[in-house]
Amino acid sequence: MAKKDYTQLAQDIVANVGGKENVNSLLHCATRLRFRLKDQSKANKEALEDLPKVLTAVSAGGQYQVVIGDEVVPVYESIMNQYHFSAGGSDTKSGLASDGGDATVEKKKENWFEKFVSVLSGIFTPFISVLAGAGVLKGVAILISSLHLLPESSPIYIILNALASGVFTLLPIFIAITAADKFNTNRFIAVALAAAMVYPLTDNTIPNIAHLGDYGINFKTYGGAVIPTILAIWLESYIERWFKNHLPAVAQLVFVPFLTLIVAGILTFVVIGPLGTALGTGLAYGYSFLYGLSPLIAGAILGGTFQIFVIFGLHWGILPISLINIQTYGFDTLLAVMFCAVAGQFGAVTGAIFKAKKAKNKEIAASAAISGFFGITEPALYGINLKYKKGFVFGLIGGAVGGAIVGTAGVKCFQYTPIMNVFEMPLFIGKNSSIVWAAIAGIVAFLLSFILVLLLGFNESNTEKLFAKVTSGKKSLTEQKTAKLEQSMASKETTTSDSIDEPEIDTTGLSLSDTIFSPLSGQAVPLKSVNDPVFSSEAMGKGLGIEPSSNQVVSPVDGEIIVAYPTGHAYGIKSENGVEVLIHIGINTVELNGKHFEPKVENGQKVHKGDLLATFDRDEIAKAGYDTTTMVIVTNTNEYEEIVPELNGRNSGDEILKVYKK
Amino acid sequence: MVEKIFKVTSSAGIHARPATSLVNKASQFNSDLDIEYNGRKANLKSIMGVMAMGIQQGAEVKISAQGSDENEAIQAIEETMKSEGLGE
Repeated sequence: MAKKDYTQLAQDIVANVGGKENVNSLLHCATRLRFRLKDQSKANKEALEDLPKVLTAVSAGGQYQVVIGDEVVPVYESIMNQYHFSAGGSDTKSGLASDGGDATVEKKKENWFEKFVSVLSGIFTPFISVLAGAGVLKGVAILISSLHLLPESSPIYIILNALASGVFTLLPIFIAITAADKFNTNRFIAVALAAAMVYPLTDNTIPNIAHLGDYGINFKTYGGAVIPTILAIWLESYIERWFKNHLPAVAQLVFVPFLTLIVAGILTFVVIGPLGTALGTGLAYGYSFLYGLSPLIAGAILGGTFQIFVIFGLHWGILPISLINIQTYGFDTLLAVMFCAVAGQFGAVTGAIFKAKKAKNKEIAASAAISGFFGITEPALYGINLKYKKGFVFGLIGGAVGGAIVGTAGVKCFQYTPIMNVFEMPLFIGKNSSIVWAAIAGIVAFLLSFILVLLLGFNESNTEKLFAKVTSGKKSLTEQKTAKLEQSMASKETTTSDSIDEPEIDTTGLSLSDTIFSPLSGQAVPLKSVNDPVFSSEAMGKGLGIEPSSNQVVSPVDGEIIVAYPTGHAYGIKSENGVEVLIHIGINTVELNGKHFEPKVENGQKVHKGDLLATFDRDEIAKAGYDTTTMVIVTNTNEYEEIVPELNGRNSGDEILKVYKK
Repeated sequence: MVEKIFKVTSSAGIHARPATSLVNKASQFNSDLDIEYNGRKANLKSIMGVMAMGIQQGAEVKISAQGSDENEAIQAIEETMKSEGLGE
């Protein structure tokens, strides 16, 4: 690629995660595209990994993650420019809107833990780069103050420190924005609530604690608060929805925020705050308990396993513990362990630069090592270390030994950072901590993994088969893809014809909402076999087609005409039970502009089942070159559990669709 | 709340097919989307609601969005309008 154009890559990626229809939302982090898919089984892992720039594809935490590496931002932008996916949050709603079934499938696949992790990572991912940048800035500020390069009263220092600390103290505001999207609530009400939580910190006259009877309420505990904020916004989302549904429209503008803030705010300060503080403190205590038993073992275990969490994207669920530690104790020990885990993988991939026999691997290793130096290990993990498992294991060993060293030496970190690298090292400077031991542990982790790779190699032949597959795939990538496409189309056809033969739907336990009767005589056919994608894809809703053998269209239900086109080719009837039925006579017949159609009803007219709606001349329509298949569709299909077509009807007035309640 | 006015240019107005495209696009967003024409207002997420307006060529319709992703929603609707040759 001489010129960086990601258009094709973007299209290929979307096609191989199951097409744009399969995407609920898309986010990116430092190296990955994080898709929320309706159906993860539609994603083609092999084809994705065959694409240039794609390192690997994994499913974790309810997300489908495509690991790209350094170029993730332009790829993400190219995808978003072409497809405009929602950037998260909207998944539940859009899933429901397009197909209730898919949404439930997705929910079933996620257990509570995956859901928790995916909520957390969804909340942190959008601003992780700002957090990382501010972390470096904080490192600089700490370096300046600890080396006395500038007095703490120096305006330069004050500015730097404000720039670095603002993000962390006002973290609830950031969390409120992304959590509001995640929980489908108004961003500004959420921010207002988070701002209220932080506000007491800005006013010296507000006491730290005030009592409601005997019940003490803390007011200045929300600077940098993670879990209380997430809980508060989650609760707020329900309260806001409730008021939205129960207040008259005229009063919503002011009173939804007013009442939501009052209710959610009081609950936050009185219930969630104390509860969240207790929960967070519990987690932090749990971690320190392990650490208290044996810093060496705790460090070794965490150092040796941390990168495994990274593979599954679970580290964003663990990192808030560091934040909580810093809030609770003023320091944290986990970050030093993480620093060693990163150094281990960085060392292993650096070794791979020298050890790799294949030019391509050397190149990947070199660029992954650069990322690794800055604390981003994903390219190293997915580009080299994991692919040749040995490298990963050597990295883990280095991380474990480094972790044991920082654990034993009691290295502490005094400022939260989501990304650990050399530039963050000043964060280790402080009381009872030793940046020297942190440096030694980091160097040991790096060198141990580096030397292990140099001595023992990383066995490129181990996965030679895998590589052979990729290279042979490259040779005839187009052929392979065509074959794949044909195969998938063939299988699709089979399933379609299967479903044509027997559209068996289990209706046990469902309750019938309405029955739709045939508006005209003729052979009923499955909607999927209708020769127009707008109908056959069920984009308009479920239903069926009828190949007419008469020229009269009658009302299929008792109800009201809500659509009567002047062109006479389409009629919408709302049944007394609320089912919206569209009768569309012929395909593309809007182009006839009324010719060969004679409407007999008007908008707003009440009709009974069997009342004449229109007559048409099917022979003339066919002669004009149009397919006369008439579609009967429930356009508000989303509001029902199931719609079952009855394909045996032949005559006008036969039962053709059964609509079952949710 | 964001609003945008479109002039419908397609010769058949907004009939079944374009209504479906608009509704499916609108349904991808959290925001509440409405379409207003001739003093009447309908939910842009309801196929029948949009079709019931009987929007003809030359009509001016106002689409409004309110919610967390209102700007993206309006932009997407605008693109659908253009890509489907519906309006401008």
